[in-house]
Amino acid sequence: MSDSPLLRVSNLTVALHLEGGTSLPVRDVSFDVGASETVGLVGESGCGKSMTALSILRLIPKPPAEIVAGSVNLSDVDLLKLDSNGIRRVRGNRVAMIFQEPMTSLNPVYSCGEQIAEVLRLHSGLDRRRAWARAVEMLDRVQIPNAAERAREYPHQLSGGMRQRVMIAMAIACNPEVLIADEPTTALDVTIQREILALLDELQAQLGMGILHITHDLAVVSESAHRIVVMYAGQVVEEASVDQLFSAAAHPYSLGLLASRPELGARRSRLPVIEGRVPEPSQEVEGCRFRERCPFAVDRCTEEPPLLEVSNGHRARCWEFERVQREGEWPRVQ
Amino acid sequence: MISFFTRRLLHSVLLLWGVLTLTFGALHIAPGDPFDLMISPETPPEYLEAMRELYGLDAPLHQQYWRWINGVVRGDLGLSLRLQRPVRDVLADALPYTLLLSSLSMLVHFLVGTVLGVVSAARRASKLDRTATIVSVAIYSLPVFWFALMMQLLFSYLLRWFPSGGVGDVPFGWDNLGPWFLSMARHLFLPVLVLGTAGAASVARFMRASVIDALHQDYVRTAYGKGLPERLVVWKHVFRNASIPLITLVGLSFPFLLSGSIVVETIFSWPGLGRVMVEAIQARDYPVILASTMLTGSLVVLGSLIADVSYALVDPRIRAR
Repeated sequence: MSDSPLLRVSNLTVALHLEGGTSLPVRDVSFDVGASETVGLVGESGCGKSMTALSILRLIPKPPAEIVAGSVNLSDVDLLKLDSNGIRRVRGNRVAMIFQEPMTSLNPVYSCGEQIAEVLRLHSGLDRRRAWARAVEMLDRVQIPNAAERAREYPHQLSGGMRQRVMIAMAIACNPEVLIADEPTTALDVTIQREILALLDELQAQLGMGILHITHDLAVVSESAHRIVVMYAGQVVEEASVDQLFSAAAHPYSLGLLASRPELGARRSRLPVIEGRVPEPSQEVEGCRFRERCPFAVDRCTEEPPLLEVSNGHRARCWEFERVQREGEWPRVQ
Repeated sequence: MISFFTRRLLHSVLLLWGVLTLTFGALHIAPGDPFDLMISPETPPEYLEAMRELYGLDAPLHQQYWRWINGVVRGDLGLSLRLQRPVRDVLADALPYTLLLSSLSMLVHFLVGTVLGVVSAARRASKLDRTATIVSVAIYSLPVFWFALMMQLLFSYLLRWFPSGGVGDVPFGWDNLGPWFLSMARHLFLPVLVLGTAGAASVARFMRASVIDALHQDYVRTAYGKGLPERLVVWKHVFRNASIPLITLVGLSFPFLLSGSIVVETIFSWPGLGRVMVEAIQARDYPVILASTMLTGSLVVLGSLIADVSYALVDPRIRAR
């Protein structure tokens, strides 16, 4: 953790008020993103990672969701305490976001250029002509060929990869300090995925922005991220540098995630599986929330573990982290 | 785009021809003819025969049909049996009044309807939304004729704010534009209120559903994520998408407005097409019935044609095809 992170999420807790009662899809989540740093926020669907990402810019649907505790500091400002005008000046300007579905995240009735120019007019105060010219520049920057022509085209005329590039162009148009990428490559072909990831790396090197990359796919962030935050059932269960996580994962869930990646050339007939299901956010589990699926569980796990310091910059929410690291392998299912 | 347009135009002409033929057939299937209503028991049958011959009603049906279609194509709509004037003149006198009434009603209809619908959707479950829902469902369920009569009773009989009907007697002229306008406005108020609000209620319901649907789309989240204020998100990003299905409603509202104006024109003695039609039907004035059917039919077809073309203007995905 750097001393003065760009973005510091502390103790973020989000409540979801539904007819059946209130649940907590995000529980006491904390992490930092530094300048020029990529943090991978990893977990399976429903673990609260998207909810966390949306809460940073206060984009969660309210009601039913509500941020009930915590703070999100961008430099010295707590984004959660800003009034509606204040947060609007941050969105798309200092913190920008791209989403999983480039197909539906762009407005079908406006041209790509217009959708980028709109952000520039809003935050940079450019007039129509200069905003358009800059929008074309941005398209060029995200390596869209014939940017001037493409700017006049509509989203339906572009491929999925191109649309995600348009989304990225829109997000970086105002030189944001932090880019939140919520599953930016999940809906794309594998080859296109690689291109988009390379583009994000390149733009980061040019602009020095911090990137929070949310994904369910460890492989996606293994190359581009510096640090990884693993979430399970609304909680951060492990936080480590990429090397630390891949060489010495300290939480059984992370170990399971690592083990369930298919490896090229490995002669395994079946991938290991993490048995069971994620508890529902509404379901209160006594002690560790992973306990019931955990092959390392011991009696003490009925008592909820805090995030324990494993080594410098490496923390895990597990009483047995030493044993997990020592054994280092997810038990094979017979 | 051009071929799309010509194809649509061709369809329209065929459709119109079908409507006319059906109307022609229906008129002649019904027993009796225009002169049955004009005679007394003492009228000599020879006179009746002579009249039928004069107007060509004694000819076989296919000949009458052919003669009439022939005239229509050449722009000759025939002579009104009842008024003894060229049908073209009768319609030309009435059309501006109907167009004035329906276009104003349409304006109220869509302006009030959309604004109410969008605001209700954006402020869902608010007091305003609930009130708008109750009022619009209530108005939507009222029969137009009853609503018109009640408005007439309230505003012209009890409150005496507006005239109960007619178009006033201030003649149009450039030197008395002010008084003419005022008189027109006073006479138009009630008919437009009735026709406009009845439609506005359905537009509001429709628009509300459409906007709520659009509000859940991913691009709305993107728009908020850009830092746009709610006003711009709703009126720029959501509205344009939500109004695509509304265009169908615009096209479909033409027949509603025209048929509604038959009732409203009758109740408020408005000298438009609707009243001409009602009077012609009562007198079995064949040429006028046929010609006004053709005219309203053309307006309806034109309405859906305009709707189809507007789709392409609003939605780039259709333009491309």
